[in-house]
Amino acid sequence: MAQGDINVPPPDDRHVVVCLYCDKPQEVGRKTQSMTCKFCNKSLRLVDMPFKAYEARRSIETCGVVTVEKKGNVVTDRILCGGLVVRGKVKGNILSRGPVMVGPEAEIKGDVTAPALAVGAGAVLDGKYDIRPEIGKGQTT
Amino acid sequence: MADTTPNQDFPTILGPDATFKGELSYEKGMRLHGKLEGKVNTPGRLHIAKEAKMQADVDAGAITVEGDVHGNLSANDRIELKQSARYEGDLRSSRLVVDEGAILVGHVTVGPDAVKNRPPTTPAKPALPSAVPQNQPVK
Repeated sequence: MAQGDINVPPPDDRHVVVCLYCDKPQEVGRKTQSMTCKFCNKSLRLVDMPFKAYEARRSIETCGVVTVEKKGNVVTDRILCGGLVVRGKVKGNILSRGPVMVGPEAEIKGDVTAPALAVGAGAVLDGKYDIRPEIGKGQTT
Repeated sequence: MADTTPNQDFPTILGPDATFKGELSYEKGMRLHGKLEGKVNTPGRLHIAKEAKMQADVDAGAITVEGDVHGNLSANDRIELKQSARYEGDLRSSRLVVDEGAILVGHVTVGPDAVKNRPPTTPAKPALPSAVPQNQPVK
């Protein structure tokens, strides 16, 4: 079989993921659910994680979007994620590589580091916030 | 173009070529286009325009930030950080609205009880009287 016959997915089926641990970007298929970072060899989850009820976890780590629904109540040491949507309650420190959206009835107790933040009027927040666009861009080299 | 003409909501305007240093109080609303350094105390509204620079502790009814702000902000009603806002300091308010793109660095306390439970701001204390009155010889 000729080498040119290898089935490589077209570029639009791929997207760039920034490693949560080493900040380096790499291209992966859109349907990939988990992978190993080719730079730091750490395991990365790429799926979105919805929380619809009370959940206590040591840490929540995914390159996808974490969503805490209205009835969700997440207690954790830290959340490392590609984006965060909070409509319920979160207690723990958050480092998001994408925007953090906070609904009007949401509650966040903990430090938040993210490139962008959108807060609905009525949300309850308590913690140290570091919101700058350069966060989560990743290293180019 | 920035609105630099006084109106009913914002009768006070600090223009783009003005610099104010010190403590400022007013009743209704102020639009800041220039530079302000010090303290602001008002039951009304404060609007910090895009080109404005402020380094002050503010206690107000409502605050809208579009420009560059350093200092502690406290609002009874709400604080709004617009897309162009660059804010560094501690923030305390009943409601907070942050537009995507705003820069925010500091401690945030937001909620219905945030302003009620505010730690009391202690006015500068006069120096304690010394045990030995001055201008009197020590026996």
